[in-house]
Amino acid sequence: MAERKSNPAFLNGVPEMLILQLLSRHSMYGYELVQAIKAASNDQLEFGEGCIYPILHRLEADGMLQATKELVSGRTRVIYRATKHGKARLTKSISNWRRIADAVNLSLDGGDHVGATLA
Amino acid sequence: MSVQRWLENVRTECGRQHLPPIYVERLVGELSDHLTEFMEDSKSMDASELQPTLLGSASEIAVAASSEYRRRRFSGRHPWLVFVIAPILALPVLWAASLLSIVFIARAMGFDSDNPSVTNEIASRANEILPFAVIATLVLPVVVATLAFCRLAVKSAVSRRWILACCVLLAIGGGAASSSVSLPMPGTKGSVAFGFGFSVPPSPQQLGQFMLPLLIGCWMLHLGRRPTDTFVGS
Repeated sequence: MAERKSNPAFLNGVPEMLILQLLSRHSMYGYELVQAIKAASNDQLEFGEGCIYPILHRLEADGMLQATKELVSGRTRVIYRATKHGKARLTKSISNWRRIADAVNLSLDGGDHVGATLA
Repeated sequence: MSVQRWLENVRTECGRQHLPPIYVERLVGELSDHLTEFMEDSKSMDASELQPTLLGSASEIAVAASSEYRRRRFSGRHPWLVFVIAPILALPVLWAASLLSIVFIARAMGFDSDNPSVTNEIASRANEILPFAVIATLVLPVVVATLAFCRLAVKSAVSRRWILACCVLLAIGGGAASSSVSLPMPGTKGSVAFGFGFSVPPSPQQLGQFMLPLLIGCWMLHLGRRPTDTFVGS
């Protein structure tokens, strides 16, 4: 299988938002979460799957996720779920994301309008 | 590349990033579990066909882990503040505390400036010990600060240059500090003086004060590089 390519650096913070969004709905383990992100984004978002774990660990350390261990087929599986603090952060992130996306869309769609105004 | 070899590479790369072993083990455990899940999902796939690089390269994961690990701590997010500004602020506070402790101990022993009430025997013993106590008040705060900041740097997995910067600052501060304390005796008042300066050539004591933080820093860097070090963070 070919090596995965990461999305550009301007997507910093997006994996965190997607993780919180998915984990605020259901508890999931790492692999399940990666599959859920792929499915939710129609395979458009790809990042090194292994890089999701450091993000999960940091979100857990920041109190935004709670991790519990579960024994499955002789091995320990770590299940993550969003905490109240994580859900609050998600709401803020979504609002910021929408504001930025709207601003970018406005700039892209309204370039002519700005030019006309300046002229 | 085999899964085991790839996981071993991840371990090695994480070690290079100075991540704590307990954290690395958890990460490697979850990556291994991820690959197992992937294998189970792709039932037709043979173990030998599995390319663990689908998770990313070992160095990519180690860099991501190090970056995320640093973001977890204030010291990782603001290394300038913690390893440059804080040591400069911490030293005077620690020196003041250590000199005050000498004053309080002297008072408790009866060396009161207004009314000294110590016997000659205690006074002569105290005067013998005093030079060592004064050196200790200069050196101990520097040692404590160096150990604390180096330990914090290792736990935060920050770059080595922050440890070095912190140790150099503490070495300059520690090397330049000097103090003198005299105990109150009948007819004379006690005094505490503290200052900074370098003598040319530097005295052995000053050289020792200067070298100590640097040696501690080198020792901590050496410990931090060993894969089975004593720093366990989470």
